[in-house]
Amino acid sequence: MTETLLSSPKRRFLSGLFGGRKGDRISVANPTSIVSVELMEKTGIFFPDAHLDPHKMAELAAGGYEILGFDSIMPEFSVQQEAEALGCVVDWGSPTMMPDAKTHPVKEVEDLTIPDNILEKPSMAVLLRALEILKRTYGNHVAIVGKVMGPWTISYHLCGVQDFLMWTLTESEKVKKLLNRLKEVSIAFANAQLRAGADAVVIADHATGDLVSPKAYQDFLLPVHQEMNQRIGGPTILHLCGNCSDRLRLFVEAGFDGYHFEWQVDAKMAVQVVNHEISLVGNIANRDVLFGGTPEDVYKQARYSIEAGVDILAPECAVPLQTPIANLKAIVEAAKEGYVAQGPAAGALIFSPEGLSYGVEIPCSSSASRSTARFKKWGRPSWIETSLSSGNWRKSSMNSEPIFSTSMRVWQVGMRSMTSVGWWNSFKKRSRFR
Amino acid sequence: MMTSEEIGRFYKALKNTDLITVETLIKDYIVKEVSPIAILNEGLIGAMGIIGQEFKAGQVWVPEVLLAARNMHRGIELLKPQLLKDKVPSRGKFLIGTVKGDIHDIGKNLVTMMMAGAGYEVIDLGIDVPREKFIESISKDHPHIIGLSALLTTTMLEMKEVIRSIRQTFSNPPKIIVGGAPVTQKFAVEIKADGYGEDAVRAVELANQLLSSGEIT
Ligand SMILES: [Zn+2]
Repeated sequence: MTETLLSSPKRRFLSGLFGGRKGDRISVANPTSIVSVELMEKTGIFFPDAHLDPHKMAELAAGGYEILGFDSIMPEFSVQQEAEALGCVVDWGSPTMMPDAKTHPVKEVEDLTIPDNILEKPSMAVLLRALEILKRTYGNHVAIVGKVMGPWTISYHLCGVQDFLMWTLTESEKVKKLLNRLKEVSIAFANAQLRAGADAVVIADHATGDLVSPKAYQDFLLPVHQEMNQRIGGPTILHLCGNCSDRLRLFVEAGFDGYHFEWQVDAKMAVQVVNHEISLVGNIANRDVLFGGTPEDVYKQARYSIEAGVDILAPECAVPLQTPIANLKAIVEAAKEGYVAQGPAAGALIFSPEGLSYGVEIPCSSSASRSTARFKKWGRPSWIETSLSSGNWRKSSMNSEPIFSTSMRVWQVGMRSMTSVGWWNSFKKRSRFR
Repeated sequence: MMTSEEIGRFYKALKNTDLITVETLIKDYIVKEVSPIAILNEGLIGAMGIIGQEFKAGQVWVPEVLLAARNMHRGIELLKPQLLKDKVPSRGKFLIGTVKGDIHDIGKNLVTMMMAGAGYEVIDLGIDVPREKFIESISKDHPHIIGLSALLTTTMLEMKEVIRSIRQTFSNPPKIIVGGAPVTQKFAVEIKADGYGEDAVRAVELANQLLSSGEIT
C-alpha cells in the first residue's frame, strides 16, 4: 500500500492542481459557482445580496465546504463583477436569476476607460474582502479559490457578445487592442485575490468551443493568456466551456496549471491529449445530470471521470440554480470511494418479516447509515436489484436473508411512476470497518 | 435556375468582411433583370443554407454566421423595393422571443438570422418577453410558427407557462418550437411543444417540416 496523504481538503486540492501525489482519493472542488436555491435556503443567504456583501458572499460560499463537502470555497458566483466596475449597468438578479449586464457601453477602443482605483470599486472589492474573511476562517484547512474574468469575457459584457464576435472577423486589430488593455484588469484582480488569500485563481474566459474556432483562440487569446500566466503570481485554472476537444493543447501551451472542462469533452481523451502537462478539473454534466439527473447518474459520471484520470472532480460549469443538493453531494460520495472502486461485496441488506423495520447493514462506509435513514423514510421498497458485475442487474428476493452483492438498487412503486430510490455501488472494505 | 457557380458568388459575398461585395452583386443581378425571387431564394437563401450546413458540421463558427447574416440583411434591404413591387410572399411568419427573465440572446438571435435566411418573415419580440406579449402578438400578427428560447433553467419553467397560456387562449394555435442551452427533447415533450431545435439550423429544418406537414394554412 502506498503512503496516502492525510485528507486535508486543501492538500488534496493543491496536490490535484499540480498533478502531485494522489493520496487516498480525488479532490472535489468548484472553479465555478455551486450555489443553488437549496443551498441559499440552507445557509439563509440569498442572491442578490451575496454578490455585493462580503460577509454574505463568504458565508454562502462556505456552504460549499460546510454543507456539500467540497474541498474548495470559491466566493465569486457571478461573471459580472468586473463589468460593473468598468461601466456596465448590471442587474444583480434574484435568488433564481444570475446577474446580467444590461448595457454594453464600449463600441470603440477609446470608449474603454479603466479606473485607476478599479480594485476598490464595490463589485470588485467585495470579492477581495470575502477572500480575506475566508482565509481567516478556513485558510488552514480548505482550498480558497478566487476567480477573475479574462479579457474575452469582459469584452462580451462591455461590447455585447454579437458585436464582439463579429469584430473578430471585421476588426481584428480592435479586438486585439481591447484584449490587451483588459488583460491588465484580469492580472491586477488575480494578483489582488492571491494577496487576499486565494490559494489559486480561476480565469474564466468564454471563447467557448460552441462560439469560436480554435484558430480564434490561437490568434487572439493564446498570447494574452501566456502573458497573464507569467504575470499572475499563483496557480491558475482556465475556465472555458463548450466543446473544446479540438483545442486542448492550446490551453497547455498557454501555461495554465489547470483546465476546467465540460462533459462534452471526453475525460479519457482529454487525459491522453494533455498528458499531465496541465491538470484537468471537471467534468460532471450540468443540464442532464446535476440538474436533470439522479444521484446515481452523478455517481456514474463521477466514477467515469475518476477512472479516466481527471485530477480534480468538479461540476462542468456554474450549476443551474435549481440543482438539487443531493446531486452535488453525490459527487463527493463518489470521490470518497477512492481511485478504484473495489469489489467484492461486504454489504448486507436485511429485512424483518414485518417488512417495515428493515434496515441496511453495511459494515463499511459512512454513507450506510444515511442510506438506512433514507429507507426508513421511504418505507419498504417494492423490489431490490443486485449486481455482481456492472450493468447486470438481477431481482432479489426480499425475505429476511441478507443479500450480498457489489451493487444494489432499490425500487419503489410510487403513486405515479416507478423510481429508483436508493443505490450503492461497490461496497468495499475500508479502514473504518467496524 | 442559378448555376452552382452563381450561387458560389453569393456564398463568397456573404462570407466577405465588407458589405461592398454583396451590394455590388445584388445590384448586378437587378440590372440583369433576374427576378428578385430568384435572387433571394436561390442566391441569398441558397448561399445562407450552405453556411448553415457548414456551421452544423463545425466548419465555421458563430462569428462567420453573424457576418453572413449581416451581409444577407444588407442584400435583402437592396432587394426589398423589387420584392414589394412583385408582391413576393414570405415563406411563413415566424414569431420569436426569449421568455421572461432571460437576457442571453445570442442563441435566439442565431435562430432569428437563420429563419430570416431561410426566407421566413420574422417577428422578433426581443428578450424578457412576458406571456401577455406573446398572446397579443399572436392575435395581431397571426404567425405560423412560434419559437421560444431559454438560456437559463429558471426560464424553462416560464416557457411551460407561456405554452400553456397560448394553448388556452387559441383554439387553433400556431406551432410552437423551443430551444436554448438548458432545454432538452424530453423537456420539450413534457411542456407540450410541437418541436425541439437543438441548434439554429435544426430550428429551420423543423419549421420547414411543420409547415410542409400541411396543417398550417
Ligand atoms: Zn462555463
